[in-house]
Amino acid sequence: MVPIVPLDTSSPSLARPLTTILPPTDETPSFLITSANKSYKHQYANIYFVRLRILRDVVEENARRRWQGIKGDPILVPKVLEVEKSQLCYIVGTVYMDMPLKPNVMEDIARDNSIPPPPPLSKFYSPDDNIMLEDESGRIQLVGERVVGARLVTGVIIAALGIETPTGEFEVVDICYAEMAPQPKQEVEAQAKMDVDAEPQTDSWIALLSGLDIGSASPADAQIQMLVEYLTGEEGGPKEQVSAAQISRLIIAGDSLAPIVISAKSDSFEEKDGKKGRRYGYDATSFSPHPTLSLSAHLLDIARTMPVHLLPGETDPSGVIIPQQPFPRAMFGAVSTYGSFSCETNPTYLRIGSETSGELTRTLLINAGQPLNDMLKYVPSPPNTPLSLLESTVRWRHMAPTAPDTLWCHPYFSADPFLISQTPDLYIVGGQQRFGTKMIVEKGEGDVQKKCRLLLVPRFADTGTLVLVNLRTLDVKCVKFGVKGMSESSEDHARADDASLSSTQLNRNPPT
Amino acid sequence: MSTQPIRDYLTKQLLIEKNIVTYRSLSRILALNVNIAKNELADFHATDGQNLAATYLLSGETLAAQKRLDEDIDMDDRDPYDDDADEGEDGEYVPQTEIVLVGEKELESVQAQFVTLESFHVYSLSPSAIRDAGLLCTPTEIVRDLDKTKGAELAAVVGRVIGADVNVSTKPQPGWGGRKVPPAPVAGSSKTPAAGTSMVKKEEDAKPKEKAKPEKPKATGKLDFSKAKTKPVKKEEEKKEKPLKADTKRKAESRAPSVASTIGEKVHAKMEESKKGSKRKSALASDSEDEVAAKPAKPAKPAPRGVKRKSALASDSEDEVKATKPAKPVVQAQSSVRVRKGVVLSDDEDDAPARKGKGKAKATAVDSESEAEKNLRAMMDIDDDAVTRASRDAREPEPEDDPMEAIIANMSDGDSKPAPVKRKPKKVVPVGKNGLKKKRIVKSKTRIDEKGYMVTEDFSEYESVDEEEEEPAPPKAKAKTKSTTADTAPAKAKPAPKPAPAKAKPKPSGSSKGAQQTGLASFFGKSKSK
Repeated sequence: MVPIVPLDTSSPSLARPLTTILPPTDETPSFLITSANKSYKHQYANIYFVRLRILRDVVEENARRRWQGIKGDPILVPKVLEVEKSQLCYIVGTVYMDMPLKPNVMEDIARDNSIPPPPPLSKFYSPDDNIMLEDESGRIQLVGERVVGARLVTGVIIAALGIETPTGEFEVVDICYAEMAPQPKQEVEAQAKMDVDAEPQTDSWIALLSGLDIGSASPADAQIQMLVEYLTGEEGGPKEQVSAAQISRLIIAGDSLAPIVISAKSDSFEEKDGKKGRRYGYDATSFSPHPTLSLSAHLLDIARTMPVHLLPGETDPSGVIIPQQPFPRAMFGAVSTYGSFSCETNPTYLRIGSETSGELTRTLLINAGQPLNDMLKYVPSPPNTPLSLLESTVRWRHMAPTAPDTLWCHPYFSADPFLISQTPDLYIVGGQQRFGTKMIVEKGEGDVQKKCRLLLVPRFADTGTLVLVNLRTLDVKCVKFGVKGMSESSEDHARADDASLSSTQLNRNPPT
Repeated sequence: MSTQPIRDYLTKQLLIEKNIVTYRSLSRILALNVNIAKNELADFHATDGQNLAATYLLSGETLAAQKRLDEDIDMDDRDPYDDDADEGEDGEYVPQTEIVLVGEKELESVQAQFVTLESFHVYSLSPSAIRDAGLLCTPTEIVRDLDKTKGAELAAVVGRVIGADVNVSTKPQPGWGGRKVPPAPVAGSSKTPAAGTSMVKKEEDAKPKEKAKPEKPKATGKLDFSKAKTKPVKKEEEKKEKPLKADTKRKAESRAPSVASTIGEKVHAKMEESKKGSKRKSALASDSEDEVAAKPAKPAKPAPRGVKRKSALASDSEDEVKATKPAKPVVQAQSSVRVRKGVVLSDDEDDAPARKGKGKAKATAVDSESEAEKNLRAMMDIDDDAVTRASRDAREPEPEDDPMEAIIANMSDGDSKPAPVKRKPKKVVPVGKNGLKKKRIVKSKTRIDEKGYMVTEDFSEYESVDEEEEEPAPPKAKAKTKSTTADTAPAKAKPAPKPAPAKAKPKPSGSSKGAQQTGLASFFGKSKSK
């Protein structure tokens, strides 16, 4: 018997700080695919064209400043094909990675269809990769240690300083990016900093979550249950309850539902009749055979206490092309009646205004991790981490440069919505293996500082981690939910369910 | 410290029924604060339930979190190419609170891992040790049920922290992103129109009517006198006593003899057929009857009325047909225009802009111009039979109000056939739950007919529309509906013979409905001309 100190039950009633969602601006557009851009007829070339046209000026300007007055006095060559041999110059264009391992649609077409396609590779990277720079005129191959180590991916707009070699390659000496996009000044920030210790309890926090993976073979039911209890402010002692009460909203960055298990699919391939029932059997959680029902029940529990933003992710039943469109609300049943529950696109900008911490507006850029996971395939991983690559995207001013090359995206005609035209305060990426965060700061003109908090939100099903961010100070903390001394998942339980289910099926089958 | 009811409950659940009780289920069922419930569980475990298994919840900072920090430091500065390799690649250290659920057995070892223990309480009690953490979720069902039924009051008692911005609303939150402001909140949900109409009509029959022709006034538009207004008024009048009606009728006659006479003729003809064809007029017979018979009688009126009457004409007595036939031409030739324009109908379709779903007589009278008022007054003077008749007429003729066409239609089809065809385009589009008009979409259905042939049919259907789509959709949808619904086989056959007999051949063989066929015909036509 363990002695337990009774909890203090006289704690005052807690209230959540209020935050509001502000309308999107031109710099932080909505990713909804509307009737205006719904057409799928367009060629993807337009995206590259728009991207280069918009970022070229910025990159050129940066390059001029960076390489002005260095020895050799480099000049800008407007077209990559007009580079003159053995003359120091710089060129601006779009990076194209020519990688033997990268999936190629031509190979897909040429492939023998009777052979099942090889499984997708986890990495495209190989030592044989060629890095090219292209613009409207053509392509030139970039060589040199500098460019090899620069963790470039297809679609990035860069300026490269160098000399064309006799073999027609471009020996790169230095590289210049667009660097961080402008950020609106937060006048209140300085003033708000003054009273940091004044009332830290009034700060509003937001909770970030990703990868609930409801419906997977080994569901993290107990952890999710604990998570819900924590968010509603019931769990733990008064101290936990106070910190939970500071959370003003929850953002779920994708992967809430597990993908349909492939093995179950192939299993049932032979016996087509039992296909449906079988699959439900495999997917059963301890709550309900339907992961969606289970998810919506959890969402309802949370949405009763705070606003929830739900993004679709890679494994969710949503479109595969970026931007993924919001879930239909109705699929979540009762929770769809809550005005404070909103389904968002992936990626999405959220502008959150907080009254309690002094008229503060924070811009959040959130995605479910597909762009980052795709970019990671391009670069060797030991030196590069997700966080370093994410930082690069901010400096490239592009959140998903590999779209449309290897990341499927909507064929936009007149815009590249993935350009980051305003540096967000918080850049949140879900669906990650590990937690990570970093504040990146860049000196702008004058004494203006551009600050961006990068956040990698780990998959909850694997790590049990909930990430909390203070909207005012951009401080981060984690809450990790775990179960010890019991089997964490209800796998055995689900198996037992499954066995009983299939046996009942067998019983049921003969008559039909 | 614990009270008797709590002990009783716990004893019953744990010792007798062998259920798992978590602090949440206890707090919900007995309406306790969660913290009190946690203490109660601990108390019960310490006294009565010594042989019960408890699960504990610990929270605080653990050694593992600090180890993680060390790892991160090891990983620093791996990237030689990083331009500003000043910080560790995996970013900053972040304080991590760990919340762990643990069984009694492992409690001490887990407790040892915590550097600081911030809270520690009993999570649940169970008859035997819990092997599978998933089992702890079973009482959640009770919790959810109670949360659902008791709602906010219970949440306050229990100690849920509820944000002030959490709100339940049937319509999505106004704004952006996934949310859009519904353009017409009134028409938004299916409930509201029904409520609105019942307010006007104060009768049950209002609802079926609305359902049959959802928001009729909306499509036809502005002052759809004949439809939106006359009906409510008519009904109100119906409620009044008959003598009163007779009076008004007489008044109308005296005031406008020519109009009245034609109306009178119409009325007579109508009265006769409608008495047989539909029960509508019988409803007029008496008040009480009206009330009782209203439900079955009314729904039949709006949509299938034409059909009914037709059957009455066809099957019943010859006299009926004769009576109506001569009556009609007279009406149209003499004064149909006047009747329609001046008094009863007020040239409905042409100048009728879109009106919202609540087609209330009063509302429209207020915001419409003097003409509308005049019409209203005139209508009030006319006895309801005439009004009914007129309102029906209004739907029949073409929007252009061509009397000749109407006559022809009446003569040939026994007055009802053109009606359904022409009515359709006017029919107002039902409104989806998001408050937007539903879109008419052509779908094709393939079935096998009785001869065993596979027949593909196109049919159109209303489908709710996404928030953004609604703008460009209407013109297209309209065009489509017209082509598919109005054009039946004969209509389609017409273009085919024109181009060339040789080419036309395959088309009649197809002889089926469908937009594709028309498309094909126009294609051949074009190539011919070129």
